[in-house]
Amino acid sequence: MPIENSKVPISLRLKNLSKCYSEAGRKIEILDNVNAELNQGDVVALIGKSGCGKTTLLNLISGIDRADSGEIWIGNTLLNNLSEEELTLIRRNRVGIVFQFFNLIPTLSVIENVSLPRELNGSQGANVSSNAKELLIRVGLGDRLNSYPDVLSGGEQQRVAIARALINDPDLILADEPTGNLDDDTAKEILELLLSVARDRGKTMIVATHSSEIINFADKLYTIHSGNLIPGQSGS
Amino acid sequence: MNYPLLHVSIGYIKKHLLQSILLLIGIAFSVALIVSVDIANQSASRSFSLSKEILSTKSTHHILGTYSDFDEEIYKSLKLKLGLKNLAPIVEDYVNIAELDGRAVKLLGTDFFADLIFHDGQNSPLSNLTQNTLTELIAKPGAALVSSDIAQSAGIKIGETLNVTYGSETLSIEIIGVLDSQNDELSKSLGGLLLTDISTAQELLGKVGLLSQIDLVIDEETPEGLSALQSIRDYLPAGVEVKSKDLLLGSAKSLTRSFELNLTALSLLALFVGVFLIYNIVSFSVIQRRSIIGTLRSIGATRRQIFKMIMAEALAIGFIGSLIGIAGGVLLGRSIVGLVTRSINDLYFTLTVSNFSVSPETIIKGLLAGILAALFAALVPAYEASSFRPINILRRSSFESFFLKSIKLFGLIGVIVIALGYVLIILPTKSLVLSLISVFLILFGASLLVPISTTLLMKLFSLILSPMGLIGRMSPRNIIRSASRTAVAIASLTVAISVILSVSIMIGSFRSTVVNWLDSTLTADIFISMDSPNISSQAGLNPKILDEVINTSGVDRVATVRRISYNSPGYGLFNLVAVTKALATENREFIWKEMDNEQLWDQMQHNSILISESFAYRNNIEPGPAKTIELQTDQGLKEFDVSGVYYDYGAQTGVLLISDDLYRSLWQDDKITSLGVYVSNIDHIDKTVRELRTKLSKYSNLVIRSNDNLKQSAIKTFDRTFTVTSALRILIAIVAFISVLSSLMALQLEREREFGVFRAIGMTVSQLRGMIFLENGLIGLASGLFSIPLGVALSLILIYVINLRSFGWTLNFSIEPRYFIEAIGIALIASIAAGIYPAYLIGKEDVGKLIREE
Repeated sequence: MPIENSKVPISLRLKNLSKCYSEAGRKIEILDNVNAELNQGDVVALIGKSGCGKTTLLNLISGIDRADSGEIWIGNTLLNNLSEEELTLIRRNRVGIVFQFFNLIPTLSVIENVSLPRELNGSQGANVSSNAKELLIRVGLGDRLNSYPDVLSGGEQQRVAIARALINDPDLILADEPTGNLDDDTAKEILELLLSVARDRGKTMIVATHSSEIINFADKLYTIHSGNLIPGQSGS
Repeated sequence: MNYPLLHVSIGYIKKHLLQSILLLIGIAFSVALIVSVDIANQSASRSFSLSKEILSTKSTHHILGTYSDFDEEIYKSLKLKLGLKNLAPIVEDYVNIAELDGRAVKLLGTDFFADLIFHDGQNSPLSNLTQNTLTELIAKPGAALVSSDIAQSAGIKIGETLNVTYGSETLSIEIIGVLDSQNDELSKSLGGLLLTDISTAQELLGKVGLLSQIDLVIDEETPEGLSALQSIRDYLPAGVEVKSKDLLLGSAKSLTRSFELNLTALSLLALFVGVFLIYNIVSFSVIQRRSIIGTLRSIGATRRQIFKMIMAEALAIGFIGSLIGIAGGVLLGRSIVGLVTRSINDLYFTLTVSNFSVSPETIIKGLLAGILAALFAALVPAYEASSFRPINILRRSSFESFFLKSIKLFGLIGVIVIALGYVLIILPTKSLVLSLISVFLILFGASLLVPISTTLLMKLFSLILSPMGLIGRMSPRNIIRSASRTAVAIASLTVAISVILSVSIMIGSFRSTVVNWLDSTLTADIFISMDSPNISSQAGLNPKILDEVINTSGVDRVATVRRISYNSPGYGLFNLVAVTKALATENREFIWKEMDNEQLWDQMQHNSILISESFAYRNNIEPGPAKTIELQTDQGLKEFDVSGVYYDYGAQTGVLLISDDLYRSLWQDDKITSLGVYVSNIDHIDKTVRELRTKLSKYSNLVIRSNDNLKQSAIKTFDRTFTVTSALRILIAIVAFISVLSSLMALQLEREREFGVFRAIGMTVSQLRGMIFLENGLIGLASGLFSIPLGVALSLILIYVINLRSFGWTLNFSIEPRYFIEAIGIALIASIAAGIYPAYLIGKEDVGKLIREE
């Protein structure tokens, strides 16, 4: 199925999504018939116990993993039948990912880390650098452009990761425990940053988290329990 | 070792079997090379020793002529006048079997009633001979026993006739039995042998009334023995000497020592490369277990226990790898023995006994080499593992930054080590061992310089590749970031490629020197010689041939060569070569000569001789005036002036060149070894060759070749002597290849999580594969580039130091651009091949699994 370039208001649709793993010959149902529909600009908090399937769901949405059954639509692109190569391009262009452990590339400077997804598209030069710089200023790292990840604090590294997730102007931001590796104050700052950039740019964002802060600010709340995605109202 | 830690180790090895297998292969290969070369060296020595034990395993001494056979009356007198017992006379020389491609075998005749034959009782190699066989051997003219290896190879049966050539004669020998022994060791000493009664051998070899050797048993530990030895020495005429078997073995060993030492050094180089491999894999295993080790430390495992755990793993794998290596070495040894024996036959003396024996020392050497190399290589990673702090586990990046901070220090130590190696080279000594140590020091020093050189080169590559985008900039940086691993991989590949390159340059230089030397030395248009001449044979052409050649139409003049093997107490084994004017000084290249060629030849008619460079080097004769050499001649002891030292790349034993007239006047020898024919019209060489072949067809075993033909044949022999070196060179390349393959593969596999991140943020599989191959290619390119200056430096040492000290030959340095292309090509192929498996895996791996947090 061809990947289309147009962006549409319905951001994400999950239909009857199921995924199970085998462990020691035993089949474990991680996600069972999950359904959800997110509009453009929705900020969603995804909660649940450790190992309940939050990361699995994010991996399915980002095309890192494949569902056993059901459908995943990003905009009006169905991911199920896409090849590995096509899924990679979806991830690169339409999804921004923020990891718990930041996952910056240690051999690239801050600005290069941010530019990476754009450069993977073959874009180079002043335009890319200027966009990356703009984003880094936005996340408060305008003075650390040429630093390397190993000299940054955890919070600073996560800011770089957020900027990297935004460089290709994605439809969807997926954040997997983005504050799980940070102290409380820094976690709060990062959450605020994530929320503000998502809201400023009208991005759909799913944050898998334990943090009560985001639960309060999210538009929608989903809980994964026994493989089911249970909708609930957010505190706001 | 503590049981739970042992369990952790076993669990790890099981889980990472591929790594352990690569480690085992690396150790096994290195050990196999050491073992096989040791087997070959020991077998060659044992072959020489066995060839002296044909009549009795217990013979202790041999009476030999310095340069020729001696009167058989000496044997009789020793028995009758001196009352000696336990001795046996021998007449022997090397003959060739046409059916076996001219293979050289020893024709040996003895007196079967000599008491030495029965000295060993049932242990005698000849104990199986029945009375009937003995009677037939003595009574039947031309009767001989053949060793079972010849009988088998030639497919000859009892009662059949075997035609062998000796000089330009064909000898018909009737085989009346096969020599064999149930005892393996005894049977080996009978290899490559035709055994006859003494009178038969004397007749066949044209040595009636002469003996080649007398074997005897003398106990030097007893006063009687010592006194007997003294009385023998007093009795023997000039030119005949009594020598202990150990002394003969020692002098044979000293001749081949350099050759064998060079092979041993090459095999140790493989171990040197192997150490890098072990370091890489053990170090990788430590990194993989960083968190496990940290946990073990936090629950109370001491630094010492962790250190012991890693060292115990290295010991276990070193032990198993060594055992596999020993088994492989024994198998490989069979091929190497053949190559070494052939080289010794070409360069030093004829070995007809083909022995293959594996001594316990060889096994112990192999085992120790493998285990010690494994333990030595594991020291640093084991220390690294034991330094992990229990709470805050030292991350790899911390170690890398520590490593990067240390690279200047490594570089400085490298420069000091190289300087030390250089000092050892320029020391005024002829020690080959010192020069080989200096090679190892230079290689080690250069390895220490690799990290800093790699960092600088990669920074340069980063600039050059920046137009390629981030991948182009990132790949060189990734290499720097993992410098503790990549630099070791680059160092091991650099060392291996530089060794390959230096040996290629050395062989190439040697070859071009020999080609030039042949061009200037082989001036005659046609050469007539015996087919398959043995370096140790005293046989010659029928003197009538000379007249027939001179009287052939188209022949302008004829030069003669007489070569005899001379074993003098003062100068050891060398070739005395008598030549006529055309071959003496014309076109010959001298290191030093006292006068011009005309005057030189005049002097050579009277009292002067020329010596080859290797003879001068071996006997510490500095080229220059006022040097003399004393030689035993048939006219008594004679002193000769050395009037010139010339370049010669023939026999390594060295050559002493004398004018034919002077030789014939001092030695009673009318034989000719070969002829050089000059034609009156150069366009008619082929016609003259054909004419000579027709005319001389009645003589067997003659080879009549044009100048070009002979040169090609000489180059073929030259190439043959380097077969073993070339084979070892390939094996070193294999060890290096495994080393690079394992370390780069491990390095890439270690980064699978990073690759997962790349994939997650949108890098396609093909982009990732491109990055892996680019990084590996850069590593290969760096190794290739570093190996060029190192390889050239090593080749200079090989050519101007090691070769000179080993063989006494000065070679002209000659280099070809293709060597460099080959060096870089091999390095690139090895490193890029190492990326194939990780690149394949990256397309198969589950990205989610790869990025799962620790």
